Amino acid sequence: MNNDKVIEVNKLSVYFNARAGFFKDLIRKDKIMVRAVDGVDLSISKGEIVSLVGESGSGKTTMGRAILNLVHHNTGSLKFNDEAYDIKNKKWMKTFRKKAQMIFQDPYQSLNPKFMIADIVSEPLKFIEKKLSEEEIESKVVEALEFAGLKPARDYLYRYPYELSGGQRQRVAIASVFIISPQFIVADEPVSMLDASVRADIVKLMLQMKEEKGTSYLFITHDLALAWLVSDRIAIMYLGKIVEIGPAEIISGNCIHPYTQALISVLSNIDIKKKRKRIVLKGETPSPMNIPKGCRFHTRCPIAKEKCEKEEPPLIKRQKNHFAACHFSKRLI
Amino acid sequence: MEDRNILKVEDLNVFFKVNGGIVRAVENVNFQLKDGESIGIVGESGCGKTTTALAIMGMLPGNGYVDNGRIFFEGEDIINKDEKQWQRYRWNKISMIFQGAMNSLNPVMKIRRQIGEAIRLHNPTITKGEINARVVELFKLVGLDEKRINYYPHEFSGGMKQRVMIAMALACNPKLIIGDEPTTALDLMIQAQIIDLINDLRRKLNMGMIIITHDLSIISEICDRVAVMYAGNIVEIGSIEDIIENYKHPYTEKLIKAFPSIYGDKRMAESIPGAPPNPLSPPKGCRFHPRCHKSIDICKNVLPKYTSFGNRHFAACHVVKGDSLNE
Ligand SMILES: Nc1ncnc2c1ncn2[C@@H]1O[C@H](COP(=O)(O)OP(=O)(O)OP(=O)(O)O)[C@@H](O)[C@H]1O
Ligand SMILES: Nc1ncnc2c1ncn2[C@@H]1O[C@H](COP(=O)(O)OP(=O)(O)O)[C@@H](O)[C@H]1O
Ligand code: SF4
Ligand SMILES: [Mg+2]
Ligand SMILES: [Mg+2]
Repeated sequence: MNNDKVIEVNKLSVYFNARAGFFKDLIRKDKIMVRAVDGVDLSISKGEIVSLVGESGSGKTTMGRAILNLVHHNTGSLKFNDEAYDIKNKKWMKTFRKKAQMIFQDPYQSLNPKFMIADIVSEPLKFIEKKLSEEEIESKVVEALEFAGLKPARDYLYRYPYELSGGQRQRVAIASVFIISPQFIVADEPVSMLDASVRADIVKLMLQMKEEKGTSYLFITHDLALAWLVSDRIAIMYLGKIVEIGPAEIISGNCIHPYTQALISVLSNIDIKKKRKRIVLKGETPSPMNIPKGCRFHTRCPIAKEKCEKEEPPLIKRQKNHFAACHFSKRLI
Repeated sequence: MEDRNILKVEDLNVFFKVNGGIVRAVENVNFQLKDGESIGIVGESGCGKTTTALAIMGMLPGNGYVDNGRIFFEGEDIINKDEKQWQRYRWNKISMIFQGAMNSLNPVMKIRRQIGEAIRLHNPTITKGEINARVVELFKLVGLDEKRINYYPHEFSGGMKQRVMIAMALACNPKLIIGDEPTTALDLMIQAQIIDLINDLRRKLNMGMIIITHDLSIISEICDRVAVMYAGNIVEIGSIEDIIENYKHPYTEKLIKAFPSIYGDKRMAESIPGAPPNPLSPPKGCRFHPRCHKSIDICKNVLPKYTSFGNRHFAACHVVKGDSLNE
């Protein structure tokens, strides 16, 4: 086995105890489980960007949080740099926290409104490097803010988050992660709330980190085109499971899973000469409290057959690096 | 089909009074909509799309006012109507799906009642039985399961709530419907379903339609024509085909080239350099000139007039040459 893997996840599951709704909770005694992440294998190599794409509620954020041990996982094993997670070991965890970081989904909520920018950005650094002098800290904060595109950084140090626009807040969040040069970053929809022009800048920053420092990413997004643009591999998630994973090019070329194909067929597109066939799936994704038996996609799949209702298709290798979980491999688009 | 205008917007200026002065949110906006036609309004955040729509609905907020211009609905100038006369139009003839409105459904009121109230408000004489029948009819029309009419909003997904908003807008059989970002914030597949629904309703009901969005691809799926707005002005207007394949204005060009395509080159979309202008003091001349890659001296001082490129395709730019319009 070559061991350039930063993250290795096997059979990872995260279940939450669900409330079925206030009234239903009162009458129903048995516990209902939300199977947010339901048996996922994934590995990420050094300097690799893997995008995790799926609709809202498919389990992307939970998966990212579980990998960083920010949420308890129910089953599965996790390795960081070929070492099994040793979450009870404080020293191990401290090193892990230093090397693996998260950029959160919502720049409006992820920054503590009571802290000034200087404090927000320096906090992770102080937590990890206790011996730095005030001057050293400030110069590192300035460097990180400027790297994140907030120039001149000194203009921002003593401001509060509410004094910044959404794009600027997201840059602060990025600076506070980049300041400790983590080896692995989970970036949870880092640009989805931002205007197109800011979006491009922030994605370029991430790519720059990858080039300069060999940072690996799990890039969580619901934007397939963006995933195609920035990542080495793309994983498509449906109801808590990866249903297809492969090189980013499968998106523009031959993806296999009917769900992936449907998503691509309805992707925003202004090419009016070549109108492509659209596969608009009916209904909505079922609840993760009630995942369909057999193939979890069968209730909406345009090509489902009897077998699909009974047998869960495993994630099977189709080509080098390309896996899909479907009993068939039919082209629909 | 008779070729007449259901809506005509003429030289419209809409301003807001604010502390620091006057926000010139919409200026010199002109467009027409033929019976059954649909037009999209596209542009960056803050360019005046929603404001244009609110002026057409006669629903500008307190500090907003129409500084100049006229709005004709079926040939009648509606801009100077009093509130009472407005009520004959609003919701009955022109209705609107507001930006983000699906999140403002009343959480403690059943969906059936919320749609019912909307119907009753505009037809005070209608009976309870008629309201119920109409709610069921609307549910079916927008593809909702009529078994769910007694559900509460939190029991509906985002896509279902947006269908409820569409049902409410259709309640009084309007002739013109305005959708402000009707698919934004919905998942890709749900967006596709809503687009199909809107197209289906257009075919069935033959309504005029204005779709406001920052996503040109949605307009290309739904609309016949598109108006491109920049900083309060319509900089280019024409058929979908003309705008996408034969655009004239440098801003339209940037907008189209910034569109990501997984079938094109794998490179980060070019962003438009600089930021949209401060609406309190928009630049002189062409408002786009500080960000324009083609600007020449005259752009800094003189507001460009529209030139015509045939087939109701117009652009306002000093650099592109069409037939000048002598009104
Ligand atoms: N009530 C108001 N008072 C003052 N200024 C306002 C008001 N409403 C809107 N504006 C300003 O008018 C301009 C146009 O706003 P509008 O809401 O029409 O933009 P929009 O094109 O719909 O943008 P978005 O895509 O973000 O919805 C903006 O500069 C905005 O800040
Ligand atoms: N703390 C929690 N308690 C209960 N359910 C949760 C919790 N966090 C997430 N979920 C549920 O798990 C599923 C996956 O959520 P999430 O990982 O946030 O999805 P995504 O990021 O793909 O939108 C959803 O059904 C969500 O409601
Ligand atoms: S296994 Fe069957 S139901 Fe599942 S995706 Fe393939 S064809 Fe569809
Ligand atoms: Mg999420
Ligand atoms: Mg708006």
